[in-house]
Amino acid sequence: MLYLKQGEVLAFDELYLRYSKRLLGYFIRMMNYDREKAQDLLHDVFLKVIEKPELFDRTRSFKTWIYTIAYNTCKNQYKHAGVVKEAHAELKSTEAVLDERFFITAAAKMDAVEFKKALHTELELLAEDKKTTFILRYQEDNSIAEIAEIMECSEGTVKSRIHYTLKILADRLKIYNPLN
Amino acid sequence: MDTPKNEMDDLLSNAMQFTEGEIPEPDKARYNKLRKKVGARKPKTNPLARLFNLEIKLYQAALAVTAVAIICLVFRPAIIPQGTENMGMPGSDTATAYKGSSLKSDSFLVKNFTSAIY
Repeated sequence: MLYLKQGEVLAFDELYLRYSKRLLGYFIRMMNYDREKAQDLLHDVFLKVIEKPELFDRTRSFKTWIYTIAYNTCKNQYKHAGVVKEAHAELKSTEAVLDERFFITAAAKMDAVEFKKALHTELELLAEDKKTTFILRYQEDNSIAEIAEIMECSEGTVKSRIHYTLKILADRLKIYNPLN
Repeated sequence: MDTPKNEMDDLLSNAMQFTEGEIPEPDKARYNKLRKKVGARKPKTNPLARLFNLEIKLYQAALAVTAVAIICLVFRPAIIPQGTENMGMPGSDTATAYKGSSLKSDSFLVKNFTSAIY
């Protein structure tokens, strides 16, 4: 970051190489597979990194910082586009008990591709905060602590969001489970 | 503290991964624009200004002074006081020393270096 601040293009190349594809994947999922929009947001993130490098706190990890920018960029985009939507069945689903075995049984009974497709379809219906938490956890492989830092909330909130999301998904994916 | 991943976590992680080719390459044109922007941040100074802004440490200056002093001592022209050229002992110059020496005329030294001496 220090070199980037000084205008070293090679430092930028290194950061771009490390994070561009991962972030593009994150935006593609967050923007419901709108690849063009994802490219726009990726550009915005790196533009912010370039224009405001002084905002980077050297006591923090660069990865969580760039993901925080990505998360905020997405949030603004959601707000701007008015795409925040809560699924109608969400409240009802929270009353269901999370059965961890469900996912494993469902995956065993279903074709892997079919399960993946169903999971992504249901993920698109989730509210922005839950979807982000889920993607950061299972797609981007961040720890609970990292997600809490990125989303600027407590670890407890992250855990409860994940639990809540899994319950919703389990409830919705039941229709794909051949056993039911 | 992070909870360890279980079978369900692994299953979901696998289902969330992109397949090869599913993520497109980041836009090259935008990447180049960003690179240009980074490059533009590099401060441009002329060489003369850079020379005046050089930060030199004390030990570097001391080393440089020592090096210059050594060079001056080694390469200084021999200072011979006037009128003292022939005041040396007879045979003290190289040629005279050779003539008066007991070196054999076929020795390696004489064969190879006498022309240089004369």
